[in-house]
Amino acid sequence: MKRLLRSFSFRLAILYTALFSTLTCLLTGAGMWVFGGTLLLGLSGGWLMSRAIGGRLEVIVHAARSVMNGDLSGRVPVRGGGDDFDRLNETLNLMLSRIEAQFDTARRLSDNAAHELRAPLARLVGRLEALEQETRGNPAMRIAVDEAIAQANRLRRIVAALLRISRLEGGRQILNVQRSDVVQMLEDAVEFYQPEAERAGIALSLHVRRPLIADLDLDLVFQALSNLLDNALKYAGAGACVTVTASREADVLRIAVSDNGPGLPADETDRATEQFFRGSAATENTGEGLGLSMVAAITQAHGAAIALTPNEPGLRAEMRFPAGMTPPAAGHGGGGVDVERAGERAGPGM
Amino acid sequence: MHVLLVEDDRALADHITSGLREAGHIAEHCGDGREGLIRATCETFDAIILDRMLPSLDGLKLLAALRATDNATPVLILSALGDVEQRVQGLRAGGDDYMTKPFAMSELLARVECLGRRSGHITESSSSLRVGDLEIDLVAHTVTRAGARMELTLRELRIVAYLARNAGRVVTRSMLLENVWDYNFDPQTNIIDQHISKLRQKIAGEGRSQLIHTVRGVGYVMRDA
Repeated sequence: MKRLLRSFSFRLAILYTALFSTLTCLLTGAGMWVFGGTLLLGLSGGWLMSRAIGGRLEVIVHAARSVMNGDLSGRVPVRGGGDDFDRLNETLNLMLSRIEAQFDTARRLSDNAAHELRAPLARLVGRLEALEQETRGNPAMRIAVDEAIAQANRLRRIVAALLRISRLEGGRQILNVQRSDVVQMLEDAVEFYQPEAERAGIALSLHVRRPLIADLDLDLVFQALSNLLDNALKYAGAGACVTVTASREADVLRIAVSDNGPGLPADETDRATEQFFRGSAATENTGEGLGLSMVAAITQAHGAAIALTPNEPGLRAEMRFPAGMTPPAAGHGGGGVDVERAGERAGPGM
Repeated sequence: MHVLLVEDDRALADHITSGLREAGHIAEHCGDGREGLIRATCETFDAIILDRMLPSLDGLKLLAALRATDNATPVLILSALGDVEQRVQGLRAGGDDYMTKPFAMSELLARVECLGRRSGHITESSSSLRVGDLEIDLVAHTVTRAGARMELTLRELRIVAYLARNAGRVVTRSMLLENVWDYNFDPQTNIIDQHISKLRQKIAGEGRSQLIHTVRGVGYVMRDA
């Protein structure tokens, strides 16, 4: 009986040992699985999470960029789940709305101010002109009145230019874009300024190759070109050369006015397109400081850019019109016609 | 000239009517759009100066209504709305000229006088123009003085032709700019003066009399003597 009991307990011990080892083995395996699974879950979850967060941050960055680039109406989309991101986005949107409203107010204010100035200015000029009639017999008085009229006219030009710039910048001027012969426009501009260049002792010339066709608002681009030529002739100095060039490279149309005059100090180049900025070379009679801001507004309205770079010596002002403004070159056989003219020439038609 | 002014700004209207009267014209004023239309259709004027933003009837609607009755009285639109598109809109509606406020009285007078003449008897289609001994052949594009041919650029020919068409009347710098150059732009300096001075040298060279005279503070006039 005692033997039987011993053998039983021995078997039991073996069984137990076997059971225990199997269990340990099983448990170790399961532990490995659990660990692996958790690791995998954790990693993939983290990756998914960071992707989701990254995506939502990307949306915010995108909206901020579009606002930075001038589209003040850009907003961050709100999902409506009420989570932390939504709260953040709602706050950001509120901030953007406020910025937009303030921008609008500032723009409207300067626009309205300029607009409201017109009527009293018209009356002022009127009264001064009436006064001029009455002071015919008094030369000293008449000179004073003439000076007042000249200043009122200057004010009138400033107001007109400000309104024009403000309309262009606010995108409220509809561009009259037409397929245009750029060379013809450049010839007309150079011809227009040729007598003034001769008077100032400056050699004005045009270097361009036909054909050069682009989709532009001709009146506006002519205005920009006129302002650039005006500046060049004012500041280049007697004996200088002013050159107008235009070319199309990789669908970018470049129109440049370069001179070999004294140029612009580096610290003034960046600020030159600011409204009312007048460089150190400006004098009482050189202008209102709006010419280059007008050029900047006109190019911007065309989706183009203006670049002022040293010409060593002198200044090079280049307008760069992006692809899309320029249609694919018309099928012209062989090389174009070189146009290189200075001096006498006339435009078309009577 | 008998001129109707439709303008609701009282002070400005007074200034314009007195300016017109001083220049020897008969000026009548009316400050309301609808009343302006009635007067313009019932009476005969040599020219109408028309504001755009008017009480009761907008200036352009007035103009359209006037033109719809086959009334061809020359109309100068005088407005604070000075965009290129707004100008085009005004001219399409039947306006003959467009001026932006604020303006100089001398400019307005010059334009009104040229407008009044446009409706007159001189035919625009004539192929040659003559002022004194200066003759312009608009077909052959030649200019001769006392029979001697002058070498002018095409642009100079256009300037001479515009001045000759308005001979005896003052032409302002902006009128020249609008009519001789094909771009709607605003040069910052008086480039026109340089063109005129070059042209003068050609026309009056070799001891011949000057035909283009400066009118101080206003512009130029072409006149024999």
